[in-house]
Amino acid sequence: MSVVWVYSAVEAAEAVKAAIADGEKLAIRGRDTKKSLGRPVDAGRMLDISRIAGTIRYEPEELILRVKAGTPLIDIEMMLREHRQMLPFEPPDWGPFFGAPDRRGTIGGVLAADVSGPRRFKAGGPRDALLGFTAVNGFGESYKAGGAVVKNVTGYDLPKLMCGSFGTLGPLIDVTLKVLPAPEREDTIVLRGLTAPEGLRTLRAIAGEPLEATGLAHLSGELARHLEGALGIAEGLTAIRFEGAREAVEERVAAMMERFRRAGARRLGDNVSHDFWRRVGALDLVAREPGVVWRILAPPFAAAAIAGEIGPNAVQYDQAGGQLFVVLDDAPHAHANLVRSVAARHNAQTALFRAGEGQRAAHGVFQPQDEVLARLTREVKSAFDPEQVFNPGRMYEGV
Amino acid sequence: MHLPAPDLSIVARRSDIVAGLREIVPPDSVIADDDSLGVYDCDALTAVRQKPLAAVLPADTGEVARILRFCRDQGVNVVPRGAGTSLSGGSIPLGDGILLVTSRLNRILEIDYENRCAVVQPGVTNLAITKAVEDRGFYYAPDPSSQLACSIGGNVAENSGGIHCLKYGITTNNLLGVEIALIDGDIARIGGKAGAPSGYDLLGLVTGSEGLLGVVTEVTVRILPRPPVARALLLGFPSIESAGACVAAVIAAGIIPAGMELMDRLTVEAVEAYCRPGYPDAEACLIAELDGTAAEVTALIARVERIATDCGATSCHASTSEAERLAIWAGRKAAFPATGRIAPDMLCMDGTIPRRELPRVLNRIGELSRIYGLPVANVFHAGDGNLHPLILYDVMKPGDLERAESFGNDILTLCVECGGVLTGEHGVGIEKRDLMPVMFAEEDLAQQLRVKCAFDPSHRLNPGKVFPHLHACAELGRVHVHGGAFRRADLPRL
Repeated sequence: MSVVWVYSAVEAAEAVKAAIADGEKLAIRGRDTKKSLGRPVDAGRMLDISRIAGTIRYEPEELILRVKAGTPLIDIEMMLREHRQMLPFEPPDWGPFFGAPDRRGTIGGVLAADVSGPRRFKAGGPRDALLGFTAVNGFGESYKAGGAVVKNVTGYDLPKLMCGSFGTLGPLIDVTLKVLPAPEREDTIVLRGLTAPEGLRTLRAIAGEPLEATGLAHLSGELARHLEGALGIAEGLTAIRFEGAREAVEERVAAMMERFRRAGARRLGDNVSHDFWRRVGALDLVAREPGVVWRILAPPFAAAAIAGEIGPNAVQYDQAGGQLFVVLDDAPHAHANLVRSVAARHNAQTALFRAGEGQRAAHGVFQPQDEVLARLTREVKSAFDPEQVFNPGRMYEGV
Repeated sequence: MHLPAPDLSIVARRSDIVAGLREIVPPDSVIADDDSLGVYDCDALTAVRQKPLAAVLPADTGEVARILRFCRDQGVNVVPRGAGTSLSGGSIPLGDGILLVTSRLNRILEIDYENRCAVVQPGVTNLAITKAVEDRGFYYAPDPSSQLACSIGGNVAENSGGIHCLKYGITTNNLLGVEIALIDGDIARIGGKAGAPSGYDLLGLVTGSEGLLGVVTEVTVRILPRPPVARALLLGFPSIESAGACVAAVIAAGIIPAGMELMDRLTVEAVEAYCRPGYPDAEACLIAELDGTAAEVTALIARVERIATDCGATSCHASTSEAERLAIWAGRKAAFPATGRIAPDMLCMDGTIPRRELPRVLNRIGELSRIYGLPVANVFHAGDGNLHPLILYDVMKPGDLERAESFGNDILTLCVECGGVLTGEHGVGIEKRDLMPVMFAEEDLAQQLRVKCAFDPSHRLNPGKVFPHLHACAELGRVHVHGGAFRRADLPRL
């Protein structure tokens, strides 16, 4: 596959026009760390935007960051940390999970693949942080949308549309993000030995109380055993994270320790807590289990039932049950019918997260759409990319 | 501000159109007599009035869908309306279009505490959702000032904000799903209790689309547990600059208050005369609300007080009871009616600016006020930079409305020039429609219009709003590529 490196919006637009003129399709990449997420792309040319990188403007006091889309996430995090700020959606590094090196992914890739961490149920995902962008469409035009302030309803909210579009609407060139002050302190309470239904009931109860928990996860024993030290025992592990002002974290953790004293609650402390949630977000424990991995977005109350009906080898629940990663034996059918039919019964959404190229091509990756949504999806795709130049097939056949 | 000229051939077919609608919904669900239509001749942007061809009040999703298909087939424009509280003219009727009113779709369908959400019909008011869940300690976070009257369907269409959105987000951050009826009568269900599905974020796209993409027929909102303690700080400052510096310093200190509201002297005086909330005699008055646990709020209040003192605050008072907190807010919430009492008419602007530009923008607004000879009161969602200058005028004085409008346009243009945007929460509607090119280049607007075409290729839904010009979809969708003209030999290829 030939590769076109572009350094600016103008060059990207020219590359798109050239592809159309040549009748070629374009696969878009930043640093290629998530290429095995999604359906295989059928394109003869690669558009590489990793050279469109660097900070355009960082205004800590305005809570605004504008960077070029090819900027590595790690550079952004380092810059924010200096000002004690963070990306609200806590994007994890999914590189290693998808077989790529760590610490390489770009912000453009994070947004396009809708990468978000354990705080999502509380602070939102990429869609809630992307305020504006410049991109190139399939007409070979560079255009902008959204704005550079935290509150804006001028025109259609195209930034939402770009998040999770996997490059199929065109390459992002630069992005304006909302940032937030980083919490002064974090801590996590863990409970051992609860079954998934018990652990999830606890997590839902916490989520329904004004405790401002920012991480609510339950790991099945198969995953917990990969943890080091005292935590690494093959039994269920339920984790509750608090972040914020020192006084608030202390007050809440103390209350939790009291509440779960009989259940053998332990507190992890700032550093261990930080590392634990980094690994939950990065799917580090899930990655160690062989087999296919499905992500299921569920009504939290249905989570335990969904896992019960699927019967996976291992499960990571987070978002208080709103998200499950389930590991199943590798099989050519990838258990697609089973997982999708169980999810459908519970109004949940599925994605075939880790599987071989053949399985992803044969069974598709993302939630199958009904006729109306499939039509709207095709129409929206055409509105940005009528010649279907960008990442053909990455999300759905023909999109 | 003007509405598109009505298509007289449609107006001439009015009785046929009304008869057709009465075959879809019960006859009394179609309002067509001139007197009754007077009720619907404007929304909260009262400067523009227009009676619709007819008003239709469907009772379920199926009726909405059939009305839309009928209108598409008949070439009739449709203006959706919730409670008619739009400040930007989003639901002003068209003379050649029907008004599709969602007020009868007013049921709360389900409250699901286990999944922390509520499923409601679009005509349910914003506040009614909170009322329905507050006995269990929950609430719906976005709180536009019209929350007593405004409908959740309208909130979705306008992506409404409110006082607490810096910390809790605006409508789009608090939705899990919507059902929308499309112009061809199809019904799209996007998301639900599991949140937005993978695939394009159509939920995010539809939210804030101002009734141009579809009609919301059901909404699933996230409900949140109410923080146990909230306290308000009332701060007086010798200047707008020092108050603005305080806001910046609070955020720089890593504190995100639940709300931060700034008022200038004219607003404070109007409010004091109106309801005596006991605001300080100062050039600027800042309210900061902190919420969380008792210990947390006490600590945060102390920190903000310290910052405010460092920034030169001349007075500082923290609420010690819920009654006192509500009293502090009562003044701010009365800012619009209070200002309304000192002038016959007012125009409420809604730009957002980077906060650091506040002194410059307010000084310039002061200059413009003198040039136009119209007073202006400023209230400001200080935390997120959303500015609400209230331009005071008298519609009975010849030329006043026109002057107020150009004053408003100058303010919004100034906001964009300072790196801000035309509207932070009220929407574009007809009010800011003609200013869209100030913020967006031709290709930016073309891309938005192509999205419009994906949903409504014949431009039947709410035409004349948001976009200054509606181009034919076929023209917008064409890719102009000539042979190999765009090939670039100098691009590195491997």
